[in-house]
Amino acid sequence: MIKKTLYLLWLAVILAACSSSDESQSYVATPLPLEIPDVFALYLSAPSIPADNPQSVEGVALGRKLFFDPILSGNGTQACADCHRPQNAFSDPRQFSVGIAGIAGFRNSMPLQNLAWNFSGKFNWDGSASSLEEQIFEPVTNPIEMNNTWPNAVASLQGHHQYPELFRVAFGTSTIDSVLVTKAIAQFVRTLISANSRFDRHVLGENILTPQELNGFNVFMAEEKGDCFHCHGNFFNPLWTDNTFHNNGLDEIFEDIGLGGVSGDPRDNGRFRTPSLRNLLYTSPYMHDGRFETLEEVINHYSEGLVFSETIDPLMKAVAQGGVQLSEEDKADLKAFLLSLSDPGFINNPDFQNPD
Amino acid sequence: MKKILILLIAIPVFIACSSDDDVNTIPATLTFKFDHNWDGEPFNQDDLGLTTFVNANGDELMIERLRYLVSNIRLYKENGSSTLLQGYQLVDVSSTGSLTFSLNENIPDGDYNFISFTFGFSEQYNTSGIYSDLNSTSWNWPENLGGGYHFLQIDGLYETVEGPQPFNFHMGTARISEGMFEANYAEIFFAQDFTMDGNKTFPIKMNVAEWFKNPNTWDLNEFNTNLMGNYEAQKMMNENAGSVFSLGPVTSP
Repeated sequence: MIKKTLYLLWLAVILAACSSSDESQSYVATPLPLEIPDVFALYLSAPSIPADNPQSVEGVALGRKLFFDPILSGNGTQACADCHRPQNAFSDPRQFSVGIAGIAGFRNSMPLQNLAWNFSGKFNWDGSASSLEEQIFEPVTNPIEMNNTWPNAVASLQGHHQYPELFRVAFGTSTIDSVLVTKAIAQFVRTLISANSRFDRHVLGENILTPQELNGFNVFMAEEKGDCFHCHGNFFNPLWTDNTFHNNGLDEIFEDIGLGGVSGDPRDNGRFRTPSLRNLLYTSPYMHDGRFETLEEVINHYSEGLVFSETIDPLMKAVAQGGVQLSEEDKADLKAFLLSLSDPGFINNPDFQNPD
Repeated sequence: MKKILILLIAIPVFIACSSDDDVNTIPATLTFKFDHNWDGEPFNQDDLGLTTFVNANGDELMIERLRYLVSNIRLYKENGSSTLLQGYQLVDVSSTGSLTFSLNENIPDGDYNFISFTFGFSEQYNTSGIYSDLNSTSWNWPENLGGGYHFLQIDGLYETVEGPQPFNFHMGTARISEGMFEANYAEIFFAQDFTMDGNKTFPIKMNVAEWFKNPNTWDLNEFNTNLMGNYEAQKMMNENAGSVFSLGPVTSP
């Protein structure tokens, strides 16, 4: 499967190279196919890389520099990494991130991990971006985030003593534009792969989980107990998300309608993208609005705290009882299992830190 | 670089052609179109989470999600020989693209009179973890219930005296008792005459109401959630699967 993936990636590179019609037509940077972890190669489809943005050594290095550089923000004070911190699995420990103008947002920053395997192709809590490149395009100009204009951001980069050359080696042109900026950052973000938790090693055959963690996984997988697996993956889905949208019974009345605000369909009101359960140890607070600070609160929500609304996902089956009513022991075991999805090597990976 | 590309494309084509034997085969695109109705009224993505239906038991219900798996379609000739179209399709009413399943095949030409498919996966194909696209959508069936994959998910709300309550009509391997499992797929047959002389379209229709009707009248007040590990519910779903599908006229293209 790895071979097939590499072949597909290589084919994608060739196709991209052949179909390109701009000035960088003949230029091909050094290909850098994603390293597919064993547990993904075993069970997941090949990652989805846009044909017009193949991974390259130079593109990833440029994207990494841009990700940590406040140059993209309106006053040069805020980088992507300020709200997507490596130590927090590229999420934000604050409930709401605060933009350069001191204004707080209204959703918790999502972690960035394994996004090349987001086969739904929908990004953000509300699915408002249809590709990673598109997702990256938006925060730069959002008034409550980086509050810049693209012409201004591009001018700052163009006038910089390093960036024009870095774009030239990455894309074959030193004429910078917003498309190339988003492409470079997307290449870097696609390298943010987490697949070395204790549970991953368990899947690969290492006998390392404690009885409590194993029982917690049984709670997770039992329809009459946790029933977490319909949305949050399983032994054979190491993404720990279905990457689609659900109303998980948080509110009777929505302050934030989520997907409904993007689709305009009232049936989508209150639906948000399922977050991965990977690296929960580092990604507190939880839910789209960061309302829960601890995993105990999250588990209690599904156990006793569900409330009904018209668009509730029927998978929240015990809503009439407030939830699935787990015993205290099952709750503790479930939490232990969830923490076995932590991957400290991911947050400490030297390739994912600020290069400067 | 173009030459390399042409060679790469050409190799799989040659491999595909080399399996021909002395039977007269023709290349054809076979398209299976899945559409859905509730006792004759069209049922499509606009009805999800919106339209109220009444089942044979008189329960009012609304469906939010309808997904199912069809595999190993087989075409039969009058002389009993058959052609297996290996592969599977996860049909999701919310996703228009999933309602069309196309296969490019080399098919023996001539007259056919039967079509069958497996609803779900038969045992030999229902191995845990082996289909990466299904894993990615968390379509797996829990190991402690026999593993493999879901065959069907109908999720919705039904009316009770205390207001709407969820139901999860999920079908897969049936658990008899702890560690004892029973295959639960359904082989669906259609008698239909057609001549294989080129591209063909097969309209496969699901009457969703039949899941709740025939032969088992489904009482949602009794069977609503936690049905995956409920042997009786799994076998009733299997029995009801028999009358759910019908095949419309086979057309060219």
